[in-house]
Amino acid sequence: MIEYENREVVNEFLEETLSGFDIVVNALLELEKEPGSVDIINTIFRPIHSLKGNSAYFGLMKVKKLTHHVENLLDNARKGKLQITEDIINLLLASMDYLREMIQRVEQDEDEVDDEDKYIRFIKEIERIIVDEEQPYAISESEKNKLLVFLKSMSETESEFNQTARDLMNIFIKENPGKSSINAELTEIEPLLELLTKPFQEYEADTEESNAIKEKMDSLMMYCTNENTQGIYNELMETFEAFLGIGLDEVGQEILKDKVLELKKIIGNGKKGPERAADSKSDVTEPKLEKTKLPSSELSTIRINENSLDEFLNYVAELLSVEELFGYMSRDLANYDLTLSSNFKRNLEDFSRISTNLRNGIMEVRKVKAANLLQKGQRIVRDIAKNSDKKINVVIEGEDLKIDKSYVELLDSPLVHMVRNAADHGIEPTDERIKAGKNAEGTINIRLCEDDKNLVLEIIDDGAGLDLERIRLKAIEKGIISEKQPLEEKDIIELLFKSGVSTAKEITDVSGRGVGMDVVKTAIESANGKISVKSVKTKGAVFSVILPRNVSTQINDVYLVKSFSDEIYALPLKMIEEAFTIDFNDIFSIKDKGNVVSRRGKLLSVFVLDEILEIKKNMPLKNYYHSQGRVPFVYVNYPENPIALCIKEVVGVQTIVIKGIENVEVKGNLFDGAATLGDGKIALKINMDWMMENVCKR
Amino acid sequence: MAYKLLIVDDEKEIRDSLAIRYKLKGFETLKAENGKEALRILSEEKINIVLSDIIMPVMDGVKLIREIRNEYPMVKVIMMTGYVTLENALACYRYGAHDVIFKPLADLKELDNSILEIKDFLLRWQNKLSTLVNMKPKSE
Repeated sequence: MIEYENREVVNEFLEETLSGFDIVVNALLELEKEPGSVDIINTIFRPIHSLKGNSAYFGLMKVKKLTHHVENLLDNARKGKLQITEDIINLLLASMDYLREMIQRVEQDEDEVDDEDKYIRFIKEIERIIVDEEQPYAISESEKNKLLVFLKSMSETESEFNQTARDLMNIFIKENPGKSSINAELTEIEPLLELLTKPFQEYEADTEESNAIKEKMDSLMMYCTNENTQGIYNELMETFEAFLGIGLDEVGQEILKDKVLELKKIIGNGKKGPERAADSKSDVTEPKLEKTKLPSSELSTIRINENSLDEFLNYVAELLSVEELFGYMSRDLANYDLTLSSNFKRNLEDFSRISTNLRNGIMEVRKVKAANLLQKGQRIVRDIAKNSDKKINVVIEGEDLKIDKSYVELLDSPLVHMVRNAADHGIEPTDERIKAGKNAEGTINIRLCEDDKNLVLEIIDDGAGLDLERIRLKAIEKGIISEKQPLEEKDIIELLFKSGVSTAKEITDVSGRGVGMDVVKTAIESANGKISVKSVKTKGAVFSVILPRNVSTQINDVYLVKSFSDEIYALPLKMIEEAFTIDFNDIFSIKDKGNVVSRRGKLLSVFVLDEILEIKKNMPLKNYYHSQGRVPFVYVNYPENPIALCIKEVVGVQTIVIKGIENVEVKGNLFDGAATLGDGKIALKINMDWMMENVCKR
Repeated sequence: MAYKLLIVDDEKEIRDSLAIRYKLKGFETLKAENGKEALRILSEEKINIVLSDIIMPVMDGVKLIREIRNEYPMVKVIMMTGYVTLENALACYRYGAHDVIFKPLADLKELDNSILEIKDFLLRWQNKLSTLVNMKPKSE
């Protein structure tokens, strides 16, 4: 275990680091498509570099060592010493995963590394690549430059070798097209500029660094063919020599850099054509664009702790209780003074409008771009395709959509699971696809879109569709269904969401989780969402998750009802189909089912609210109604088990702010919150799921 | 938590006496014979302050501080030297040494002060970082 000065500071650092990893992983995937891009390597380099520097401060020496290696590897690639190959990308991605794992371990107060051997293997693997690949490149580049300079200087002397040297140079250039003078800037000036830009290296004369600079400068000489450039070149060399004496620091670096840039400008203009070269002097002042920087499209942002946002939302939600209270007051006021009451009401309307705006505003603030979430799919598919004979193209839609922060977390594992499933079981191997007359490359479409009410995440693949038989067998194996049970297609699909049927085989997968579809489904449903699958044999499958656009928060629409003991209780509105009254004589008693009523062609089991609450027990139903009148019911449309809940009276539909209740133990989890009503009374909110699972089973 | 002080000197007597002195002053002290050994310790332990001689066999102090600047930018370094050249002093300055102390170390007050300054510096930054984290409001 490592000791820390301040656990909070360390945690903050770890959290920030982890949040930066996605950028690196995405950049790596881009790099795979564009292996030569120095810009992309730089994008990866920067966060790795700062992680290296910072991790040592926090005492994460092993993280530091690994990042140091990764950095070296990237540095080699950046300098062109190392060709980015698929293997290297794989290794880098694996390193990022491993680093993430290490950091997560530290977050959970564990050692950085649990398996020392694995860690050392990682380090060795990277070292091997750095050493291996360096050799074939190390000699040739600098040697070629030297030779070219030599030939160039030979050709310019008035010796007899003049012609021979010129010929040799031409042959050399022909054989090494990259070395022709056309590319002078790229092969000579750019590396030189880079050397001059790097901070804090070895400054003394006769070190590797200064020698490299000197070598590059020497080779520059041959491009300085006219008076103008030669003058600058001489100044450059003089400055360099002078600074070598006293040590080449940042000031010297800047001066040298300016001179090289000046040279670059002239040489760059010179090669546009002979005519331009003639009046190149007038062009000298013309500015030339430097390397374009990566666009910084992000607007400036601030980081806010999620907790503080939630707290803010809490306060805003409380405005709603106040509003409710005012509403009650205004109705009361009407009994005493009508003018005052109507004035009050007008002001109250303003208040409501502002509080609604405030609430919508804060919900908007909570939203983040879905890009990071969706791009995960890219990585998962890539890894699966690499490990099998599959070619899979990933199309992502809706990256720019902004969704609530809680949805990003909620959708994370479903996305991983569904994409894995599509790539693993959906898309067929290439040869099978060709046999089936399909495009050799499979496509997985990850699409996020929203309409007025819902947010929809769809994973669409053009693979073989669900293997229903396999699912059925798995379910039999797990003892969920019996072998003889006849099943329709949609029933089999439903099995997919049963515990154990779809759990990932290995824990070592990309997601690192062995979460099954059943867990995914529960998570989605607890956020009032739905998950469904459509599958067409040989054509593919569509997994979709539908979530309400408005995130469920403490602000809830509820159905308020009064029990026979005159207490008010809140039921979640979404489950209430309707309220109805029925003649007492229309309540039947059926064997095994108890009391039932018939409503819209369905038999509903009858429950009495007070009985559920255990206020009164086992009292005959008619005791609640001494007069043989009509009995009020609420139709609770709980999936697969709708019931009729007998109540004293309906209070109405209201938007309330649900608060957690502490230290009140009432029958397990029957209540999941409470709210203050306008008149100051408290209403307990009933947890329907718990109630249905534990009380209303027959 | 005690700050970790790494003492790098090729003379055993100096190493040991400094180590005892600062252990008594509440630091956790580690010792290394030369720059190379110091780097090995740095790669394994979280060190706050390095106290290093300049002229040592295997790897000298200038190379060491340069390496520290690159790899452990937040580690503070105090250099000690008996054989002072302007070049050495400038090199230490350039690589961000907190101080250069000239040997012989007859009076240790200068070194003490220097170390105290660093201690204050580290403490100040630690507080800054904690404040930064605490500035973000938390629920409860």
